[in-house]
Amino acid sequence: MFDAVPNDDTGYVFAAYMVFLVLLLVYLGILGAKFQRINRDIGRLTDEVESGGDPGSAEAKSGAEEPTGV
Amino acid sequence: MSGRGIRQLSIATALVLFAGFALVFFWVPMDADQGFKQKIFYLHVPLAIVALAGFIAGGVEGYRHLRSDDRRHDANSYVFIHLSIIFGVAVLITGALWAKASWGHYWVWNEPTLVSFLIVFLLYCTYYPFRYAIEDRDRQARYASVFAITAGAFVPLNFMAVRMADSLIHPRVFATSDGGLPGSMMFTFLVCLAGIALLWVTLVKLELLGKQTSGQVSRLRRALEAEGLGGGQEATGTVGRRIAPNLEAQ
Repeated sequence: MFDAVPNDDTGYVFAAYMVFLVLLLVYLGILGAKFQRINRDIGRLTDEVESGGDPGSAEAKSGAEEPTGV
Repeated sequence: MSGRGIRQLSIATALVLFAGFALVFFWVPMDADQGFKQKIFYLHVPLAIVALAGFIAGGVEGYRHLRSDDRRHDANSYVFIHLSIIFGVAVLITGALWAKASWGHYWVWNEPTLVSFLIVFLLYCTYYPFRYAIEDRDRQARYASVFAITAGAFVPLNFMAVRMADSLIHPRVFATSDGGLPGSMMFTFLVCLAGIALLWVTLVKLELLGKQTSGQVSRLRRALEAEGLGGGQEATGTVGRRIAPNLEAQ
């Protein structure tokens, strides 16, 4: 990885700030995926409650609808 | 810690970070000795300070957990250490790039500042296997708290030992007899430090909010199962169960 860095000051400074940005974006992406999973779980639970505990109908319903935001 | 004010905190973080980096590239004068590569200082040093402070804060939360047996403190301790390790990765990479630009080597093994940070970082990397080698949740939380306190106490001791050691090449820019940083550089550094600290707090709050919510979902699932509703889907409430305390007891 390091061999790809240009051999002057600008390249190193750019690389350092890009590393920070990439790490931040990856972390935010992982957090976003986690919140989406929670969102889906809440959607399924809501469907199960609304369908009176019939997992089959809840599953069919949750598959048909987009989950709402957390 | 709850999810209240996350939006405002996120906006404040983005503004302060943006202002700090704008100062770095458009306002603060070029360092006479190092030139443009010294700009890495405004990212690398705040990340290191916040990471080390986060490790100490994790120890404080571990202590509060042992004192109160409140699982929220254990979750705080876990998240503080988790985020500080991620910041530590950024410290090591940005430091290696700065070292290559300044010294011609990505790593210098006889430099106490570098090696001591690596030791602290590797020590905290053992937190995960140590924690998840224990299956019982209460014992896991207690042992993890003891680890957090012990390692948290090691961080300032390590820092002091390094300050007392004779540094070979790593610069000492704060509290030196040479006068330290000029005013404009110090101001820019403090803005960047505030931005990185705000980023750490924002990410901590987001991570805790996720764990809190997944814990609530798990409790809701169990309540529904007790009522005779639900139970048909295993996927519900699994978020965060595998590796992290998810505040189910709260």
